[in-house]
Amino acid sequence: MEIIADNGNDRIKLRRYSDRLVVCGLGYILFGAWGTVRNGIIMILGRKDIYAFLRESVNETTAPVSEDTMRFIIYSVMLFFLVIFALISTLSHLFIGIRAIQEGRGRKKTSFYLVFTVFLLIMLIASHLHIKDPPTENTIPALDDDTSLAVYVMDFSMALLSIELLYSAFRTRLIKRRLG
Amino acid sequence: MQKDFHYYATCSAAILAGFSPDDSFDIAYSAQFVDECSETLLRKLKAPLIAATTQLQSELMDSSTDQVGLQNITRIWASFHFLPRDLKADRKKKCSRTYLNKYRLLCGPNGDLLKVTVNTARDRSLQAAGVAMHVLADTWAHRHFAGTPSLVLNNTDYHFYEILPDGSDKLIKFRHSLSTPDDIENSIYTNSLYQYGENSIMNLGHGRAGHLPDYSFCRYRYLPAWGDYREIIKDNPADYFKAFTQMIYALKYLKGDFDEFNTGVYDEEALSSHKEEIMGIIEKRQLDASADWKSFGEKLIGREIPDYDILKFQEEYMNASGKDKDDTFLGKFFDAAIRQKGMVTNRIYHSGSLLAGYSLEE
Repeated sequence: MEIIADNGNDRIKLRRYSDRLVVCGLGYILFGAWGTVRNGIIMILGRKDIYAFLRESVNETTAPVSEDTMRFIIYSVMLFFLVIFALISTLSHLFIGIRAIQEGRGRKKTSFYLVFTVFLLIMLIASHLHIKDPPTENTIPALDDDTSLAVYVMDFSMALLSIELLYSAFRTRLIKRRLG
Repeated sequence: MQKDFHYYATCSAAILAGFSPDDSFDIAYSAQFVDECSETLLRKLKAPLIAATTQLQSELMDSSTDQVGLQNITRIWASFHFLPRDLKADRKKKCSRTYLNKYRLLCGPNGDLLKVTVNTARDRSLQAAGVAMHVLADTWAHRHFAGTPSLVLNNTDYHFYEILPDGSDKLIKFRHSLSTPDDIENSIYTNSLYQYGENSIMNLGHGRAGHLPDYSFCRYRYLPAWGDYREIIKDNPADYFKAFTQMIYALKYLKGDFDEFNTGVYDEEALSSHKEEIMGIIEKRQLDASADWKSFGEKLIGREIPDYDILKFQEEYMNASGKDKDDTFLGKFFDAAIRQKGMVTNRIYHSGSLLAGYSLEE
């Protein structure tokens, strides 16, 4: 029985970009985990400042309650939003990562995850453009320089990863269409 | 390859090459003993450890992967199980010297080293012939893998399909369960664990492809790590047939039937009346073809082929003293093994690579 390997240029490129898509998908999941951990650390380390900010806002709007009760309510709200944001962040990254891996392995092909990736990329870039505004007395004080640098580096990597994922998906689809 | 080919098929090849049944048994025993002669066994026999031709899993787990440890591993596996095909190979793509040295260790048939291996066994013992036949056979089964722990050469991924007899592809599912036999019906096979460390023991030889290279019936397609996304199709039935016919040719040369051994020559004439039967054995989907090969060999000589017994010659060696040990069966085997290892290590060293260590021989 004669068996011939298909090693045409297009086929090799398809394997290369499919593999990249899988790697990008894995990376996206890991970066999602990093984002969740990072936001959690920010909220935990900055909890006193966040508390003070929220406490001041509450003072202006609600009826007076005991300090302990107020502390409990505010920290519960903080924890609630921390969990919600963590879930949203993790699930969205998981969704994109898993879809990318599935497409890379030739199992499932959808386009919604790519649109979602573009959306998150825009949000990521926008979040850094926002930080350029000078802090006012109402904004939470910025993190110290070393930590900011680490965040910038990671977010820059995340942006590159998103672009690589989109490019790999695009090339994979183009080559598949060409191969018929 | 495994015992079915190294012992029983080699025995049949020796018979077809014209060796007497008793000589054929000795050649076959030596060929199989290459897979058994570990440092653990040598310690038991109080034999020179340098004669080791294999490493047990426990020995591999205990061995270090520093430079000295890696050299020791490479010396054994590249000399006996993954003979490099071309120590002067070049890659089209630019790469580092370190990578190129590893790339040059890729095993394949009909390389220059095979010719030297067979010539090294010429005019020597039956044990030397057996060692050479083991090395020759493994160049076919283990082609495209290297006898050094290397992720960038020996790794495989999820793109691994078995080509079934009807021509269709089936995705192979790998698992890491040494105690569970491979499931041929469902294409579920055991392989070594993925380890991202370049020099991890898990990345030695064909571990990442499991036992697939050692099953004569198996045809499969996969992407080797060194292949730049080029797919390799491994047609074991065709390769095993070539290995068998090349063994007959090599054994005739070692017997003295002609003066020169050339690579790329196969003695198909010797088994013209047996080809169909041999292909039937090779292509039969079974984990161990020992019974079939044994039956074939026994039909050729009209008598029973003794089962392989690792203890057979040990007492003779242990009871002998001093220089008499060299004249025992195992003594001759160790001599052949040391020569083969020295030759391959020397060639690798002179190719500019330290992966197998230093060699003083010019």
